[in-house]
Parts: sequence; C-alpha cells; structure tokens
Amino acid sequence: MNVPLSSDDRGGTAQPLLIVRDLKKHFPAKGSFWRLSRDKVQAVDGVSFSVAKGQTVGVVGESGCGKSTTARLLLHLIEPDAGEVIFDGEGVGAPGGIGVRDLRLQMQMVFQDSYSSLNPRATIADIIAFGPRMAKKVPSRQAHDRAGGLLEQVGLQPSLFARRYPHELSGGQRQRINIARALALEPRMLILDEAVSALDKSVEAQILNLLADLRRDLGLTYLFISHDLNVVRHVSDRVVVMYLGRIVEAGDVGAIFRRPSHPYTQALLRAMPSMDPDRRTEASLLTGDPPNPINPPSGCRFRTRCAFAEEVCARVPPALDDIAGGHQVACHMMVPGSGHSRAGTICAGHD
Amino acid sequence: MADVSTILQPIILPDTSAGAEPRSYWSTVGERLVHDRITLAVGAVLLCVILLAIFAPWAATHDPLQGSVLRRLKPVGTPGFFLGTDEIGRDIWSRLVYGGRLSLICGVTPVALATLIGGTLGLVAGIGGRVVNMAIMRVVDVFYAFPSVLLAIAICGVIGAGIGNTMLSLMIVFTPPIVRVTESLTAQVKNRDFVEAARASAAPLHAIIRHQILPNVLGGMLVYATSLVGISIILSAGLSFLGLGVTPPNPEWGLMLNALRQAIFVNPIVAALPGLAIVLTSLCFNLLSDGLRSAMDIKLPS
Amino acid sequence: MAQFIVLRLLHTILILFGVSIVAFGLIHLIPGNPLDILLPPEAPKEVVERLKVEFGFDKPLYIQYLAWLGRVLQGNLGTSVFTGLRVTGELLSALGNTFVLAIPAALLGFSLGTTLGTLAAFNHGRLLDKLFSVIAILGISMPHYWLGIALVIVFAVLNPVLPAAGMGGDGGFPVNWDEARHLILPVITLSMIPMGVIGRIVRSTVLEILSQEFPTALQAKGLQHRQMVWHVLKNAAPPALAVMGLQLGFLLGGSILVETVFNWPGSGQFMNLAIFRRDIPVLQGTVLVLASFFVIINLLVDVLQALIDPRIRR
Repeated sequence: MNVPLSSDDRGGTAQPLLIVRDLKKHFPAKGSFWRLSRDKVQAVDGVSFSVAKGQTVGVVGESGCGKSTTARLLLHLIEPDAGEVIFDGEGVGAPGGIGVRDLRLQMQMVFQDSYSSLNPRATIADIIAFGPRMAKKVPSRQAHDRAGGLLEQVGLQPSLFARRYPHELSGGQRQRINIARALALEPRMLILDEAVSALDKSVEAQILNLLADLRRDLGLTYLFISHDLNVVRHVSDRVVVMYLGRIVEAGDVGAIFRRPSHPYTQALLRAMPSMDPDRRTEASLLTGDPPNPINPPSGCRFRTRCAFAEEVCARVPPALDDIAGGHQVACHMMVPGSGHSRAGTICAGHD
Repeated sequence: MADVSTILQPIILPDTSAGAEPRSYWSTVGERLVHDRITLAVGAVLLCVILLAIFAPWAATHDPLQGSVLRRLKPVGTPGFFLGTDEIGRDIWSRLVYGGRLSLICGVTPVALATLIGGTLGLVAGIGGRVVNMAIMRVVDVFYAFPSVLLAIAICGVIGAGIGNTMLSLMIVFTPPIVRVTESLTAQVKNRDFVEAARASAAPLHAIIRHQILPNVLGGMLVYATSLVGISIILSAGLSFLGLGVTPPNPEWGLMLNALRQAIFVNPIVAALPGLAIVLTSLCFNLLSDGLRSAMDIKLPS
Repeated sequence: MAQFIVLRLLHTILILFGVSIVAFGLIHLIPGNPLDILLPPEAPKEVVERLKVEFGFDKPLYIQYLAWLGRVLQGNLGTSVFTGLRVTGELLSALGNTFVLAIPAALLGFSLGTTLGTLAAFNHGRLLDKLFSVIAILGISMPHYWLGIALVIVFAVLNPVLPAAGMGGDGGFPVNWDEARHLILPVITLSMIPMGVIGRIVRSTVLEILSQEFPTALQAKGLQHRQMVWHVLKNAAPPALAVMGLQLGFLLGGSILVETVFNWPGSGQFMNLAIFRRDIPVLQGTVLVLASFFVIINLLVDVLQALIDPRIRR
C-alpha cells in the first residue's frame, strides 16, 4: 500500500519498519533462584518476523504463548537474552544503530485497559503530557496544549476531560487516553497489547474504528496483539500465530484465515464462534494437555496436542519455512523430505 | 462471517461527566476525613493539646519548676492548684502543660526524621536492583531482630540520657519499620502498568520516581508514620520513666510518672494524672491514623 | 518445604551474626574509652594500661569481637564487672523470672485478643464490635507501665487485695498461692498490649475473609456455623501468628518497664541495673540473649505459618 513516508524515515518504502530476528527470553522459574538447577520458563524462543511500513501485523495465540513478552522485548522493557530488533534499518542497541531511548520515541505501546494503566494520582492532561515533558523536554505549557489536541483526536473534549482523574472515567474513555498517551511522543509505530480485550463489544468497535482512522491520518504502523481472532481478522494485513514461545504460522490475513496450514492455526480457527447460525462449532482438533512452558516438548512444541504428530516431530524442531509467497509455516508436514509421512502430499490450506 | 464494523456505526460518546468538578485523590480523602466524626473530634482534641503546649507559658498557672515542701502532694481540687501538686510541691497542671511540649517533640521529631531517612532507603530498596534491595533489607532485618523497647533502652543506656539522645535512639528504632513499609509499597507500585508505560515513554528515572511512584507511596507512608507517633510518645515517656530519657527537673510526663510512684500510697489520683495525659495524646494519634487509613481506602469505581 | 526451612535457617544465622555484632558494638558507641567507664578518672596510667591489655582492649576491634564471640558460643557470657559473678548464670535465672511473667501474659493476651477479635468481626457494626474497638485502641494507646501503676493503686492501695510488688518467694515458678497472687497484677498489665494488637489484627483479618465469598459458599453447602467459623479462623491464622511472634518479642523486651513497676527480678530489671552500673559484659550478654530469643521465636513462627499456609512456602 502507498503510505506517505514520515519525516523521520530512514530506509525508504521498501525497508520494513520493524525486523525481529531470533528473539529469545528465558525467565528463571519460581523457586529456582537459590537452587542450582536451571529451570527456565522459555517464554520467547526464537521469534522472527517483520512489519512493513503502514502495515498492521496481528499476533495471535493462547494465553502464555509469549505475545505480551515479545511486545515488551521489542521496547526493551524486558531485556532480551538473544536476538536482534532492527527499526527502519538500524539495529537497536547495536553500535552505530539506534539507542533504546530513541527507539521508544518512535515506537510506543498501548496497554490493555486495566485500572492500573493510568496513574491514579495524576490528571488526564498530566498523564498525556508526561512523556513529552520528561523525555523530550517540551515545556509544560506546550505539552499540555498538545495534550488537549490529542484528546480531541481520540474523540474526547479537552474542556471536559483534561482536568479529570482516571477513576472518573469509563473503560472506553480510559482506553482513548491510553492511545492519546501513546501518540503524545509522535511515534511511527504502535504496539497494541490486548488493547481492546477488556472492553464491551460496542465500545470495542468504537476504539477499533478510532485506531483505523488514526492509522490513516497519521501514517502509523501497528503491531496488534490479541487472543480474539475476529478482531485480528478485522484489523490486520498480516497475521503471526504463536504457540509456546515460537511462531508456528505467518502470512497475509487472507491466507491465514482461508488457507490455514498449521494444525494449531486450523484448530484455533475452528474454535472461533461464528455469527452465522449455519456454522456450528465443531469438535476440537486439539488432543492432549497444554504442555509445561518450563519443560516444553522437544522438537515441535505443538506435537503433544497434534493429531498428526510423528517420530520426526519429536526429534527435529520444524523451521518456519515459506510455502507460498509470504505464507510461512513451521510444520514438518508442509516440507517435502522432512521425514514426516504426510510431507509433500499436502498443499497450503489442507483439511 | 459477518463483519464487525458493518454492524455498529460509530456512536457519539455520551457525555456522562458534564458539570461535575474534577476530584483529585487527596481532595476526596480530605472530604472523607472531614465527614468522619470521630476523626474530627480527635483532631479537635489534638489541636487543643498542641495549642496548650505551644502556649504553655500562658496556659500554666505556676512555674513548673518551682515547688514548696509545704505544698507536697496536695489532692485534686485544691484551690489554686486544681490538679494538685507533686512530691516536691510543684503544680501538676503547669507541669503537665509544659510537659506536653517535650512529649510532643519527642513523639513527632523521631518519627519525622525516621520517615525521611527510612522512606528514602525504602524507595531506593524498592526501585534498585536485587543486590541493592537485599543489602538494605538484610541490614533492616538485623535491626528488626531487636524488640523495639529493648533497642531503645539499649541505645539510650549506652549513649546516655537527655532529650537529644532519646530522640536519636527513637529515630534509630523507627527507621527499620518505615524502610520495610516503604519498600513494600514501592515494590507494589513499581509493577503496575502505568509505571511500565512511563518507562516506555523514555522518561528519565528520576522523573518516573517523582511523578509516578512517589505520589502513590506517600499515602501509605503517612498512615504508618502517624500510627508510630503514638508509640513514640509512649516509648519516650517510658525511657524517661526508667531514667534514660529526659532528665529531672524537666517536666516530662514519663518522668513525672516515675517520680510520683512513691505517691501512690498518699495521693493515688495525682500519681495517675501524667499517665492520663500520655494515654489521651497517644490515643488521639492512633485514632487519627485509623481515620486516615479509612479515608484513604477508597474503593474507586472503575 | 524442606528447602524453605533451610533457607530460613540460613537467613536466621546471618541475622544472628548481625545481632551479635550490634550487641558487641553497642559499648563502642559510648564516647571515649570503654575502660574509662570502668575505672575512676584518677586511676594511674599504668593501671589503665595494664587493664587494657588484660581485657584485650588494645587489640583491634575485630579481634576483640571474635574473641568475645568465641567465648559466647561456648556459653561464656563474661563476668559482671560489678558483682563478679558469671553473667550466664545470673542472666538465666533472671530470664526465668521473666518467663514466669511473659508466658502467662502471652497466653492471656493472645487468647483474649483472638476471642474478642473474632467476636467483634462476626458482630461487625453492632455494640460488641464497637465496644471491642474502644478497648483495643485504648489498650494500644496506653503505656502499660501506667496501667500497672493504676492497677496497683486500685487493687493494692485503695483496696488492698493483691500485693503491690515483688515475686513473693525466691524466684522461679510460683509454688504456692501466695506466690501466684504476686503474678496476677503484672501478668494482666503485660497482657494488655498484646491483647489489643492481636485483637485488632484478628478482627481486621476475619472481616476481610468474611467479605470474600467463600464463607457464604461454605454455609450454602450445608456447613454448620461452627465449622464455617473454624475454616475462617484457619485462614486468619497466618497473619495473626506473625503478629503473635512479634508480640512475644515485645513481651521479652518490654517487660523491663513492668518489672520496674512491680519490682520483679526479671531480665528487664537485670538489664536496667546493668545500664546504670555501666556493667558492660552484662549489658552485652543480655541484649544478645534477648534478641537471639526473638529471632528464634520469629523463625519458629515463620515455619509454623508455612506449615499452615502452603502459599507462603514459595
């Protein structure tokens, strides 16, 4: 799509705004601090994807699959154990690249609306003005004026809301504040971490429309994290599916939703409730129990719940391979010669 | 499958908050306090005590240090000495009023200083990394190993009596609990989403501490510190009672209590009066602390 | 669970080391030479020097500390400068007398506090609750030594029914009614503050538990009122136990004031005398022993808590 380039642009239209390579983060498991055993929660284990300028990439997966951890790793709110993050062609934290502070001025996060996402002791205007004032040394007067402008942009009247406190607002209003706060630093990219998950459906629709308008008006790029497949389908251009710290499938939204290739993606889609009364929810393709993130299964992590698991799946972790023009899957069944009995016999979107 | 956006058209936000004035957290707390009758009453009593202490030279009827053997241990209601006299013949009321100064100072100052020092240490321990936290909290643990009375007495016993030493000793006794409370509060606040959002905004650490963390920690510290003032008054009086605190002939309630002990066989009511003063003042601070805690425990609508 | 105990034990040993350092180091807070306290100022220089070497004051501080620690671990707390007797023996007998006071006071205060606190919580808002709140807050606002004096005034002076002071017999556990009579007033005095503190904690914890849904759920399942109360108490136990541990420490350390009022020859009085006589070895030994007791009691309380509440075991 043709997105007007931002004045901060460094790499040009073809350069993806964000490239993530082999990101890893392992947490020491609870109780293992003193002990010599190295039990680790493998929260994010080798995640790679890219986001083009002006795109919306959706990240889906069950709770605990590592989506939120990935988001925090991107902004260095948590330090990665390994891997690179490349923003507009420059490595983050790398010599000659872009520093974390400068990265944060260009990439911001919108948090889930929990009551604690806004400082209860500060006014709305203070909350929005905090970033520019403290990080960019914008004078207070100017920062507050700009906060008023942002409030208008997200659909709230400044004269009514600027001096209010978070506890006086509704969930939808607080989420608009969250968005305004993220926009205050004039970023080029927003990470939305379950940004609409806590809202009522009607409010959710309003916020999604707002986000779409903002993306168009400000030329933003979005990384949209959610467990709600309906929403992801609605907003995304590309979709990344995560399972237990790894990406199992990635591709254009149409490809993912019409021709899901990984057994996990297929199971997820089958479980989606539908508005169409003729489409009843079918029995789940998933078998077995959700595995332990501290000791994930060897090889393919999904194999303990996969109806098609074979011996090769336990031995060799499947790589994320391109099977058809940007559509990537990590499954032995899709790769001819992998050793799986069904390899090479399946096309994208098999049943 | 039907598309979400075609079902719902954008709706104009209903303006539910028109007309209402913004209510900050502290102004809400203040209003709740004012409506709490017990706290109001307590506040009034405390104000009287403080005023009496400040204006002691005018409130007292006699010189608190002047006594006459002829007037020893007069009972309550004696004309001119309406609360009686002590074992040296000094007017009890005057000594109580002047003693209020010392007791209030010995109650508030150590707590205030301990809050300053302990609060800072607790903040640092809460925000700093694991190493800093462990270093500070282990040292605090060692001091916690001593029961507060024991520690106060031991320190005072070693460095000597006198009002300055008493306050120093109490300050040392109160700092560890304040460090603990502050560290615990800071650790809780640090993990909340809005602090993470502040970090994500590339703001410098000192700005985050000042604007995000501190305002959310001060309330809890205030409640705790107020509850310590009552204890401080009792403890300082106790030290004087043992001869380790304020030295005679200064009028101090604990000291008076000790000196009048011999008098319980002769004039028991008079002997009990300084204790009443201690109880009253300490009670007021404790009730104030309770009232503050209730007022601050607002279950805000979400 | 075992891991938890081992960790706590290591932690405790570390703390005990710290305590010993503080106890030892206290006397060096005194401005001036420790020897100046023991000797009159006119003492000739050679005597001072000789005693310095004899007591080991000429050696560097950490050597003095280690030597002292070595002796302590063998049970030798030094000799009293004043009486010439071994500290250990005197301290233990004084401590025994304090326990005679502290343990009944603890039992009385804890049981009374728990009962009243629970009753108050279950009758929230009604007269019983308000009455209890008043008593509890008076209990903690009152200097207990003053209460002791007041009790003495009422029960020993105005209406002499109980003895005003002393232990009665030779010390140690009361063996007859007369000695036991001497216990009554001090024990009541000492139990006031624990009763107030425990009562308030129990009340607020039980109220918090009752505001959750599970007690109602239990009753809906058909549990009798009595059994529901038992479940609630089990949940309220951990914080209450923690506070009880702290209060035991208070009883050991704070007994000094009550002992002064009632002329009770316990460890508090022992320490008081040591302070006034500047009897350094006694002071060091007493502080060390009392604080160590407190630390060990807290360790036991922590373990007990972890036994009851699995969430604490981390």
